[in-house]
Amino acid sequence: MIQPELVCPAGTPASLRTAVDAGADAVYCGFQNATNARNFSGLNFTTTEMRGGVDYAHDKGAKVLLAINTFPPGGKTDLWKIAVDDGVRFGVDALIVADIGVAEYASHNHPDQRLHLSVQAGASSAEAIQYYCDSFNIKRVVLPRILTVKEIKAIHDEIPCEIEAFIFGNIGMMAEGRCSLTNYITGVSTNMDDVCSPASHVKYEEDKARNLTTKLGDFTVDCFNCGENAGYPTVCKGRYLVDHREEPYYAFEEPVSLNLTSLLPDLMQAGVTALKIEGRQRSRAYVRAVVSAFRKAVDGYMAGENPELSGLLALTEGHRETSGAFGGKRWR
Amino acid sequence: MSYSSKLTIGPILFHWPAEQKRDFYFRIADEVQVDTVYIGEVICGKRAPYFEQHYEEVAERLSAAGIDVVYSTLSEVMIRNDRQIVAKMCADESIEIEANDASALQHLVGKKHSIGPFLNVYNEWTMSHLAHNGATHITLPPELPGEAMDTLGDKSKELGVTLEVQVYGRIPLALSARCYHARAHDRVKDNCQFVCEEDPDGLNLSTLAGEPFLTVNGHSDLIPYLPEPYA
Repeated sequence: MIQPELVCPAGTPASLRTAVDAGADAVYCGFQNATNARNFSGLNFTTTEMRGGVDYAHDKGAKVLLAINTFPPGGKTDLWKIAVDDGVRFGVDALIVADIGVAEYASHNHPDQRLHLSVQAGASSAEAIQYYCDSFNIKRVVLPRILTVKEIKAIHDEIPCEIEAFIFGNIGMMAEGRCSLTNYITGVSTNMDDVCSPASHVKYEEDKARNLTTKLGDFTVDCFNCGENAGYPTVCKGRYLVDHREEPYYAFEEPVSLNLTSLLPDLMQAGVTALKIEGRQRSRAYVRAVVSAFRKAVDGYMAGENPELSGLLALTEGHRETSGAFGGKRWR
Repeated sequence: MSYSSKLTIGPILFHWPAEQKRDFYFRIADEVQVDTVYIGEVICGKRAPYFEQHYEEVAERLSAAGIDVVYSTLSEVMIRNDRQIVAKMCADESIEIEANDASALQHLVGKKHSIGPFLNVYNEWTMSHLAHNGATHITLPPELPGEAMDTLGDKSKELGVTLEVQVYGRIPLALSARCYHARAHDRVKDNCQFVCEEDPDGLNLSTLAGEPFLTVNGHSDLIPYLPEPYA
């Protein structure tokens, strides 16, 4: 078994330093603009910060993976061009790309730059991955969170590149890069404007009985009785009505987080090269806790031990966890 | 300058009984003046085998009526069954294919083909790449802004690619690996028992405030109503 790379979120320069200090083998991050699929306000890196972040990580032996993983709309490709060129100039270890056009630009103009295929490309079969490898010399694919460990092993055996898999954090229900729900509701596109269920469109309305309604745009996403723990109104974690059911139900998924602690050895044996922790929007304290825990876990498994990881549940959304698709076909 | 636009009918997104689908296409051949009809299952690989036996007769009937027939591939390709369906369709040299995911692209490199709306073509870079690989016709994603569409329009002329946009009907909004139709009936995809067939127009979800919200169709979601002024 090869020691997997622990790939950790860096939403800010401070988080980058925290993740590196806590034992990240690599951090992933993005610029403060539309080239980055987590373009939340107050997060991400200026060019100066990116250069500094790369220096900090490299000094400590960690890699920096730069996410340029959105889809530039026609006529506006310059921003993506600058992001790719800057990343290469700053010496990032890999560019994480999703758009075919961005991959083409990067591979053509910077043939020596290592490219990873973002989860936003939604490459979920060996043929799709092979296409990106053949066309753009992709060295690693970040797999969509829709495959079982057995299926990941089968893909691993058929493709010429490394596999990175998510192991912890938020789990979106729709195929990455192929969801326009946020655009339908708020007019802001996940693929082009880089946000899912943006905070600027979230409303919380409390009635006299202290029932709390959560809304995204004009649509009610959920309603909580007094005392219930209200979740953030993400479209695919809301409760809805359908004619044949009396009660509202979570039509897509309950508010749960991905936690693959128990499947780590299986993933490592399936040939997953890199284990990815979600959460560029999370605090430094969160990053420190999760990265340290997984550092211990990976090192423990490599040493043949069975590490204790129950503390991670406290860090999951609503303190509820799932192994998602990774655990078996019944998730689908 | 004016262009003579062609009119197309997209693939049926819902799970109708095979005979009903066949008869629907026969009626189009007999009664409707369109230039192109897309056939092929784009949503669910489990549904696909039911209609396969009718492809040939439907294509023949449409062709005889002067309508071009294009076979659309699955939009999400994941398990062995999905992969085999796409591989088989793309291997047939006698038919025109619309690729809806990158696995189809892998089979079609160097061959003339179309690109469907489920494959992200947002900019001129992507369009050039795909045209270079053999794409001659591209349906743009419904969320592409008009300004970007203008740029792609100019680029398409340079590349000799024709463009298509959806102008009527419900817009597909999202794909997923999970079947939400099965979930609505407390089942999972593997034991769905094709419950989606009960809803020929999809399963309508509304919010807790009673507003129409989304239509579930297997593992895809659509806008639940027709855009104005057609509603």
